[in-house]
Amino acid sequence: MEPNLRDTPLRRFNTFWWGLALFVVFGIACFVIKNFFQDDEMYSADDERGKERIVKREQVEAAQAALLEFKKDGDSVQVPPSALFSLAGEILETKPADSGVPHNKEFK
Amino acid sequence: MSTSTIPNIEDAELRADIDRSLRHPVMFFFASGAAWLAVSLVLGILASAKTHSPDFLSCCACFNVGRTMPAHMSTLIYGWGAQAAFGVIIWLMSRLSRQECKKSGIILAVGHFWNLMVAVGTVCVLAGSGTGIVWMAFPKSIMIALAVAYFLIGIWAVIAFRVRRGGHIYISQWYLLAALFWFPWIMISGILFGQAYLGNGHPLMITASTAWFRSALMFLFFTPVAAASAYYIAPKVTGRPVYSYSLAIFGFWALAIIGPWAGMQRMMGTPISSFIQFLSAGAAVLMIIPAIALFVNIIKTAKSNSDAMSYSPSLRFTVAGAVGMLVFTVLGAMMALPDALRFTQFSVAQYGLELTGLLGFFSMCMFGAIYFIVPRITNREWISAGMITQHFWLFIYGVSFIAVFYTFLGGFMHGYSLEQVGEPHSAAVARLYPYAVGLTTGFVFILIATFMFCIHLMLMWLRLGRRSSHPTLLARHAHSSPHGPEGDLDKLESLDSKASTN
Repeated sequence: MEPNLRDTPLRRFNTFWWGLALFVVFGIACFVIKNFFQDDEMYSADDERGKERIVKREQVEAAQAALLEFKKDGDSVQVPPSALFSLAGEILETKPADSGVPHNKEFK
Repeated sequence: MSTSTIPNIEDAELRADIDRSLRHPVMFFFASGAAWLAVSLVLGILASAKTHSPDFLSCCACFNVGRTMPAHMSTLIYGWGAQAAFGVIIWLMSRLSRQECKKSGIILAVGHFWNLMVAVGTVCVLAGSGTGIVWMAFPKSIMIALAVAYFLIGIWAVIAFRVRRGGHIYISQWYLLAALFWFPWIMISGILFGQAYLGNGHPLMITASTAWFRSALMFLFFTPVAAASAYYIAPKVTGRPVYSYSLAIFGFWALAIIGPWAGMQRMMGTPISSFIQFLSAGAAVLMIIPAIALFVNIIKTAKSNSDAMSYSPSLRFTVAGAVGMLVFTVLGAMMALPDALRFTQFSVAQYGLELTGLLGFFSMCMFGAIYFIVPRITNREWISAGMITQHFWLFIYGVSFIAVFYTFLGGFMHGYSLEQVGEPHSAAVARLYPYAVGLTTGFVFILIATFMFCIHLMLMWLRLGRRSSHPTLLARHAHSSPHGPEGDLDKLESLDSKASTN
């Protein structure tokens, strides 16, 4: 049988250490990924969803406020509720005055 | 003697030297692996029985389903699967590289260490010290010890390949070498991301890492070892070349490119990137491609000598394994479809699929290899063709029960029941009852087959097999006895001794 020229002690030795190096490289790669590419900061799903909800709420409030601003469409006028509230406040602050006319049935 | 027969005699001597050098480590891996398979099945029966009879063995905490189930899967993977694969890898690589093993003592010693670690890990899991991570239930220290032991077992196969005789690299060597390199990648990634970073990492990512680990171990370690075995056994037994070598190489690259992406479909609907979930689902569906390549090649090669399939136990198991591979990937593809995942993601279907792959595909290919390898390394023939036939059919019945009844029907029915918002969880469990009984029945079939196989294998290891030059066949072939004429070797030896004395 022809001698096997590939089978040398050096080739066996090299293969062993290259194999070990490759084995360790997988571990080193995982360590690098974990420590240099992965963010260890913990996020709460509720908090993250809460932030989304706050943004949505601000958008909705801004849209609602825009709907209530002063508008004039032909003869009709839309005034902001606050303007009406101030007018209503003035009316409510006035004290009722005696009209001098009784409204009770007994007076009829 | 003619000059043309001299290389044949030298080849036969080289093969005999290789077999002799690997006799003890390979037999040790096969025998201890078979014993762990029996242990795993007993634990599986306990876990399965708990599903339909919760009070069964409720006296002791170690028999809880929460402990027996991970112990069952761990012994199946690291006790049986890994050791059967190691035996096939070191023998097949030495034979194909035409290099006898010079470090069989180290491999044997490390094999003992591997078994010790599996035993300690199993006790830890049963005692309640398991990690609770699926397929990585052993404590972290045990998993690290197993990874180190793997290196000391696998490196000698890599060295045998590097110092091989001849220039041609067979397709089986491609698969074996890939499995040898993929295993440490999967194992180290699994240990580091699934176990070591448990304290710091996010539990969701640990679950995702584990989902990938399970799929990768199946597709990138067990599958290539089984494929390597099938691509060796089928041409050897039939005496014909592989049907299409280019298809075999295409199947290899398809597995290498698609396999690593599968697994994350189990995380569908969780807050991880959607593209990963759908990419994995796509990869799980595409795994049908390498499965078809393997199936077509093995079936076509076997059909080139159809008689061989009827009488060769090795080929019969290997062909059954090729069919199992196709069934496993088709079932996996069905379950990975987003519409089907509604029913299978949280049901028993995933567990059933893993059993179908490990028992119906990988184990069948390993049995085919063992029935081929053991007579060569022990220099004895299998004792009983009847026991091999019963082993085959009982295993087929059991795996079919699990694949059809439990995985497919039970998995979807259980998932459907879980999807019903108006139904309590107990209704889903009640719906699972007949399928759980079916699983137990399937396990019992497989356990009986495994006991027969264990006894047969132990007798062979004790070198109590038949001393005959004719292999043990499953059908009447060339001789009046299916075993061939008995005592041929004895007659030849007595003739030799007479000739030498004269």
